[in-house]
Amino acid sequence: MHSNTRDIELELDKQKIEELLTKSALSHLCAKQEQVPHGYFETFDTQVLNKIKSQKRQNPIIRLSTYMPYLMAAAITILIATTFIFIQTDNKTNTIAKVNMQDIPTEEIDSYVSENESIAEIDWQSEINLIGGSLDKETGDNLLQDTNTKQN
Amino acid sequence: MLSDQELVIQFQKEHEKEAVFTELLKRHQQKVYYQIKRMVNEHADADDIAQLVWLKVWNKLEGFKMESEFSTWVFRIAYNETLNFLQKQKRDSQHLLSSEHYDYENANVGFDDPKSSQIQIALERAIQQVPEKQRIVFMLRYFEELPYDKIAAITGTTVGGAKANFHQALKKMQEILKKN
Repeated sequence: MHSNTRDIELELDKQKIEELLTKSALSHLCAKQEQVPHGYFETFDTQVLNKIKSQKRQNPIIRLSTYMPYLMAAAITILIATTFIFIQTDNKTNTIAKVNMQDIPTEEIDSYVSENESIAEIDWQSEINLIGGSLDKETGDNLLQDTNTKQN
Repeated sequence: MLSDQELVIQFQKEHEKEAVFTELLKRHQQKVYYQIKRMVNEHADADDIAQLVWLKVWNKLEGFKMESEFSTWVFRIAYNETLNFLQKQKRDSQHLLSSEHYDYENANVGFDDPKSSQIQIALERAIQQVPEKQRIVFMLRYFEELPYDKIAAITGTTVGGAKANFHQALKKMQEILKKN
């Protein structure tokens, strides 16, 4: 029914046009507009496909929408793995440090401290010598004397 | 035979994309070409636009949501590309307007009766002088015999708007022919 109304409406419109422009002139115009070079439609698809291929070569389209889920999954996996490895390594280092400190005998620690004490004092003396220029002679002599007394 | 919609689904699922696209192109290439040619007249221009249209179809088919028929969607792309071409042609000051550019000398080919050829020339001149949007509605209605709802979908207007464009086109042609 709806289609029938449409057909009637179309026929009426066509009639109006043909009354105004004559049917033969319109059909001649139609034929002229539909003239194409011989074999044009047979080769048209090849022409379009060649254009598509050359477009692909020029701008390879990376469709993020296709790869996005995989990229997201990979990124999350890498993040989790890195965090896990980092935590594991940190725990191991602390354990090693704890074990080593417990294993060292007290005498060794004492001898290490006394050996390094003299080095620290030598360093302290050289520091005083370095800043000596900014101290007055009396203060510098007093400081040196104090250090020498302590060393003896 | 698969419907257009089924072919589009196959294309979107990446099943033999080229073969599916070729099938869709072969089904609609003539109508798309004629729609363009009726507006631009020259084969070379129509060919360029038609290739551009199908290139766009290839690039956008993946995202086509099938809210309209495939053919309506393609005709709409063709309509927009044709209008772009005509507007660019108009802007180009060196290019002659399509009404002047048209080969009227050969318009009477096939007519033995000089009166018929005169009618033919007058008709073609009249059609060319109608504004583009009205002219395309006239062409789609008379030559493609499309219903107004499809014309409205292609031209991006309402059914009422399409009808108004058609009647305005007729009125304009009547005025031009009376003057001549």
